[in-house]
Amino acid sequence: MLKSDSDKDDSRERYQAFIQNSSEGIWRFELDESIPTSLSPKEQIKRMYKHAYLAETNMSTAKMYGYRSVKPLIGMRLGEFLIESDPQNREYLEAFIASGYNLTQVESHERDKKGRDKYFLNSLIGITEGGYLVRAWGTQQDVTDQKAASQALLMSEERLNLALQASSMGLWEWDVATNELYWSPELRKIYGIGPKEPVTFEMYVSMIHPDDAEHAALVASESMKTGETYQFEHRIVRRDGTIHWLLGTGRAFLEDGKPVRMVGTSMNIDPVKQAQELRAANDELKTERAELLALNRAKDEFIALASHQLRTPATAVKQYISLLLNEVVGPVSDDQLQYLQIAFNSNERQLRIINDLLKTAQIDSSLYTLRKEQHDMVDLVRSAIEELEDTFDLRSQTVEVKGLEKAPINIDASEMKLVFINLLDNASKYSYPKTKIVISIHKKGTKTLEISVKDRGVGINKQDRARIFDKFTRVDNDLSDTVTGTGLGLYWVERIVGLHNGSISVESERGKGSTFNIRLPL
Amino acid sequence: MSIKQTVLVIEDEAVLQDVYKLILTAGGYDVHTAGNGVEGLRKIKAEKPAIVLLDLFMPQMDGKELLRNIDLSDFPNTKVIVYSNLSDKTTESEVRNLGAHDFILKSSMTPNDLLELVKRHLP
Repeated sequence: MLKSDSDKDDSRERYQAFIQNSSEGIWRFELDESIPTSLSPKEQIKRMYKHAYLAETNMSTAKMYGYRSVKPLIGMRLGEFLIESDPQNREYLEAFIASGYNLTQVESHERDKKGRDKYFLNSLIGITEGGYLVRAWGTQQDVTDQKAASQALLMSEERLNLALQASSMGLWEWDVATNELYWSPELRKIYGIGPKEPVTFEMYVSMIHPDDAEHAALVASESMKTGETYQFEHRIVRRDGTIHWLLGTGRAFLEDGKPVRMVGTSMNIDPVKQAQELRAANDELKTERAELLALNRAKDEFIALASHQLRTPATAVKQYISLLLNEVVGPVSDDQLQYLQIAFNSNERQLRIINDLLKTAQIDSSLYTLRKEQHDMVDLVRSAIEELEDTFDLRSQTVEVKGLEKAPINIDASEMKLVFINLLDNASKYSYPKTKIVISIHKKGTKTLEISVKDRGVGINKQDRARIFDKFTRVDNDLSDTVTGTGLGLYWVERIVGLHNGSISVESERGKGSTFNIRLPL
Repeated sequence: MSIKQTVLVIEDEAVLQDVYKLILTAGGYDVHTAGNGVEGLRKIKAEKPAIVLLDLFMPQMDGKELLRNIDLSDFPNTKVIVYSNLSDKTTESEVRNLGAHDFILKSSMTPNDLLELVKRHLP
């Protein structure tokens, strides 16, 4: 460039001074071997790394690379500055070639003496002679710090976006003066609005749940007066009609006491609200359950007390009438005896009803538990038959027990005896005199004991069969007028069998008799 | 000197107390009565009856309470029969554990049943 002979020394001095005093890095790369500009950019770059060396530079450059003087840098190869493997540097050199060897303000990624990353902004010009690149001049500014700062900013923006996405938080900004509204993609999702659909402040207001609108307006207008941040929970009604809970925050920015801009966030808190609602519902259920249990206990206590209180006067009646019947206090005429007997029987019936009601209440109670022990079912059935001996004798009926001779099983004996007393009593009551009742006890497989009670009585209508196990059910038949009862017996039978994890079924034909089959697990 | 066996009827219901006294006296027993547990406890200790008929529901001290307040092994010649119009199994096992010799549903007994019951528990 500056090759005039006469001014050579003078200009060289001025040139040196300019370079050395410049705060920018200034440098000159020379090539051991000139590079034909006709070669492909790739080949040219390869040769640049192979042949370029630093021929001249200034103190600013040295400092940028962490050196205290220029000297050690001179002669260093291009690759020692510009990291060859970095694609950014490849792009930089490609751009240099493409620009016709004249490039301004391009960033390079390099390393200093200690291997630390450095970023420089370069402007450079290549000198070509006869189709060959021979050297390059350039300047560079150290932009490492700015780069780090902008990267940090980028990072923090990315983090914010990530945080917003993770928390499903939507962002909005409202320019009060122009009424321009910005909604972030996440906020649009929350409100169920398409990504490109225009949004207005009015639209936003209209989607707030009517019950929360007043509160929303209040907090927003308060912030527009004070510039303070608000936060509140509210519902929105999406256009599809679904209701959602949001946590909204916002803040107005004031200029001369007037709002110019508002920003805010919204987050869907449906899961939080659902959890709260579930917890509340759960608490309510717990309370209700405790109340029901208390009520049930109170009911049990009431029934026990009521039966006790009802039994006491009936007990007194029983004793006094008995004394009269036994003529303890003097002779009684036949007529008187007959009437006293009716009174006595009536009182007995009343006592039976009290017993039956109490038994039903006990069986129905949630606190009712079986007392199971190993017992022989055959023995148990026989003792039930024995207890009803008078009943069978009265009607001249016979009872036969068939099947197993021993059938050990884990049961509550007193409850199970009640089952057979009821079934046998029914079998007797609903059969004509001089008939036979047959009980068979068999194993069904290895795990089930089946006991059937078969009579040749009046039988049960098909339509009545389904309800005979219900409470207080009494079925009309040819003998029902002569039979007394509360209609609770079969209800207990089914309950007790059920409590033993067993089952009961009935086969019957009108006029031919009934068979009750009980199956109990062994 | 009486050679009659003593029966103590602890019963708060006057009509029942009267009729039981009537029946047992007619049956040949020397019958004493108490209207509550406190009085009953005092009379068991003082009179050492052969049989005690003990009701459960009573004012001041109920039947269970009475049983808790007495060591029946100190009265080897006294048999306590709890009779009540409460008929649940829990109560029955409870009073038997407290030392009662028997448990009877009051409303189930006729005068003859009562006499037989007492007789059964006498030596």
